[in-house]
Amino acid sequence: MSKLAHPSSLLPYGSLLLLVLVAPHLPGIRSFRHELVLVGILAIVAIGLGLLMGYAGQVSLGHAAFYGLGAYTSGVVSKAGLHPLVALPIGLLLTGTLAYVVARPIFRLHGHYLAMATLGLGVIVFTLIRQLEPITGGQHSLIDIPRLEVAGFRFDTDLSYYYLVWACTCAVVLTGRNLIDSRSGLALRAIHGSEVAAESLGVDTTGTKVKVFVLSAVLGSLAGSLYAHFSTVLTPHTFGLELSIQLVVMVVLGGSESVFGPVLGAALVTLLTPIMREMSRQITGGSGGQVEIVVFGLILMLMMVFLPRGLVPGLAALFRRRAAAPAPIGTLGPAPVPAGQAVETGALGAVRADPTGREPG
Amino acid sequence: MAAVAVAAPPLLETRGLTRVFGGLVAVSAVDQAVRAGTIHAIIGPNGAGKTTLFNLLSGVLPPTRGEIRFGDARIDGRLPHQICRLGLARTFQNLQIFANMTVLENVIVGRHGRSSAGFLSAMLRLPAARAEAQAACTVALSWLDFVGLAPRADDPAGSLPYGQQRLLELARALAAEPTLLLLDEPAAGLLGREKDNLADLLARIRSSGVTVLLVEHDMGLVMSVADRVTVLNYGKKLFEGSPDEVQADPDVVVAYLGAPEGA
Amino acid sequence: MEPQHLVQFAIFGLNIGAIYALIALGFVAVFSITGIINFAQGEFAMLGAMIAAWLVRAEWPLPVAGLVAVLAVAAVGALLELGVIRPAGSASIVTLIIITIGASVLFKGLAVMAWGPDPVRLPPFTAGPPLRVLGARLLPQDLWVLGTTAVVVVGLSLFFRRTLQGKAMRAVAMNRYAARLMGIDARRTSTAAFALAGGLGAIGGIVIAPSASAYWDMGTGLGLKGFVAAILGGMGAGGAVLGGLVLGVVEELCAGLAPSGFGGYKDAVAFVILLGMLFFRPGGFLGRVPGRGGL
Repeated sequence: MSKLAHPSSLLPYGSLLLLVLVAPHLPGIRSFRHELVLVGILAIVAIGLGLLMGYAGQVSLGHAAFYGLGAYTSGVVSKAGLHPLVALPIGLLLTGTLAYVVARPIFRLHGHYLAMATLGLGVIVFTLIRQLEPITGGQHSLIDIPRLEVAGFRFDTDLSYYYLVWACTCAVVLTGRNLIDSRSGLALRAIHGSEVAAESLGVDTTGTKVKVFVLSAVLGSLAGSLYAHFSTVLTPHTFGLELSIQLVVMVVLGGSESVFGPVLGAALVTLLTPIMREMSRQITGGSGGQVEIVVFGLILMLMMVFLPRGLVPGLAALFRRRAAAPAPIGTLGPAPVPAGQAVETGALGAVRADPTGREPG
Repeated sequence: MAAVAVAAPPLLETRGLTRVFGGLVAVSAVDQAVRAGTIHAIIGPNGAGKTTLFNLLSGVLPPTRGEIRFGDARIDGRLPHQICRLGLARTFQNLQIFANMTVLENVIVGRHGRSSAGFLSAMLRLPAARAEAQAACTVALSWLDFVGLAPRADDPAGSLPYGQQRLLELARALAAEPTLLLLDEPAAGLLGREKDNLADLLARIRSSGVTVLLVEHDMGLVMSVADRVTVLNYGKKLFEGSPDEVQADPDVVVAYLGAPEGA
Repeated sequence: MEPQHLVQFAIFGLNIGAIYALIALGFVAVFSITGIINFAQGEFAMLGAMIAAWLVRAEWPLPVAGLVAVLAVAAVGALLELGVIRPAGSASIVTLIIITIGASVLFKGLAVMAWGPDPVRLPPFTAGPPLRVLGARLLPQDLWVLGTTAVVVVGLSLFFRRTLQGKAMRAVAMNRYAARLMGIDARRTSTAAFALAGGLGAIGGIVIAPSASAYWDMGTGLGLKGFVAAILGGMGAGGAVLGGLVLGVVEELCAGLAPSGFGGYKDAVAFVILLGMLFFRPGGFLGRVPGRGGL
């Protein structure tokens, strides 16, 4: 706790803040403002999923459902005439309640069964969105969702919405980091380390996992609401299995043991997808193949085999290795070798062993 | 002190405690009381049901039959974290260190049941949560100091040698501020000097008012620190008495010690 | 509701249920041997159907095209195990889940690139007028589906009970450690399980391709429902077949009996059943505890 204010630990936050502030004005990036808004929105969902994967140690293959619930609740409620800022908490409440109700039975399951259950949940919500045509518009889409307007200011340009979304994203990064470093974050890591020891020390293991699940669902809903007022049009297929898998790709790519991993993952996946599509259109001669799907598949498999902790810890270790000698061996490996032993580790310091617990056995 | 202990009601009491695995009765109708302020040892040959008994007491396993009273509360059927919060902490025969944390963080987890900051106050870093975290850190450090591990506070827990990992588990359990401490073979794998240190620590823990129930194979340690000894054999309680009485009992000698000079 | 309609729905249901059963058997084979749920199992069916359709378009005779497709997908399964599952070693379950999901995404992407996004069809295996059964139509292709499934189930059962390789696989499924002590190469058995799962999936995809069109994304739904069938059957081979047939029939009856406008919920039926089973009866409806040794 005491080390939290250490200058070096503030560096990544300062850099992120600076980047967020200037990015939309940089030449070359200016024309990607629309995509940058999407990055911010998806980063929020990915951070939530990252907490679940990295700290509760469970993968969810149905997170698009929570995103969709938030989006459609915001869309439907604000179209009914309520203010978007009223619609948003309704979405959070609805999603949080659903997540709470399903979490206990889901966490009675383990491993593959749990993953399948989340997948099933995703498919059910997707089917409901598609079929409840009188409410959601179904295949015909939900259109004309009002834009966000607060105190007379309309967030109707990409730039204004960009700053709104990234303010939320930064807040989520900060609160997520606070959580990881708190009593609850420590409890989650303890569960990962040894469930039986954690519960013998007073950690309510199921209760804690349920809370992370609900939190990550609520973050999904928040992002969905932001998306609804940005896009103003909602189509069911946006919220299907593909998005759920893309979210997992984001977390795996960036790494789930810091809050920055999912943000980086969201940026890479969101920004590279259109580029890859363009490339494949040029290669295949206009037919527009889906090379990005192939790349996602390869990323998932290769990352898991060669860099299971994701890019951020990998890069951080690389950076530290250069900064501090002697170099710890095998920092990039799957074993929980504490990264950078030469660096001071605070009481709840920034340097940790692999909380994703990919130890053998 | 003995007179006080006899007058007071037992801190822990089991009645007819039984646990069956398939066809195997691991713990069979055990009636056992543990007096407050004592060090109570449970001995018995391998497979006598000692660790199963601990798992029943700490809620890791639900009993098949029987009841467990801890203080004023019935705890059989309660979950481990609930039992911990009532003041019962334990260590494990097979070390259960959080290898993914530092030494100090391990002990801070021990403060979990004694603190209350939730997700929301943690995410917002409310002053109360920060103060609580700071206090947990201070208390944890003092327990590390108690077992002599304070210099290793910031090291990865997995890097400690075996004997120190045992001490870390002890500090972590003590940080939960239990009234009853269950120690599952705390001396296993310890070297001679480490054992002496452990005996000294156990005495200090008792004098601080914490009751200790330990399973131990090391007879030298048991006979030197225990106030009371229970012998289990094939899941049943064979004998209970003072260390001297245990050593003198012919049944115990036959069942467990094998030969008189084994003690 | 006329009785012949019920019979018709039952025929539809048994048909699609037979496919679920084949895919479920693939899940069971891999899970029993390796403890992994292979999320790419549905894509094996897709690959089988697409490869067969492609070869038929290249004017290969249907039986040859089918056989080659089955062998090719079995090879894909073996390569998946050798290429990424084995190098991942004793990784955590989350890691293995993500690897097989990656494989499923990769197969889908490659299929789109190779064969485009449009659905293709295989011709029915034999031409002929539909039969009448209790007033309902039974197509010759329906008989092919049910017949093939029956042959595969019987063949598989003989394989596991009569052949050395089959017995070795059962031994590993029951106790990997003990099987290794007996000199069985458990790693080769894992490769064989993935190959078998590939072959089973491909057969399912090929026999369904004449009645439902084959396309790059067909594996997602088939795989998920095959998994539901496997869960219904308690992750055992016999249960998986029964689970597939029951699931198919229930699904078709729900779709058929639902008031008009609700037919679109058909896809959710399997998952409502899945969640119900997982939450309340994870041992399957036959009451078997999920775990290894289900062959």
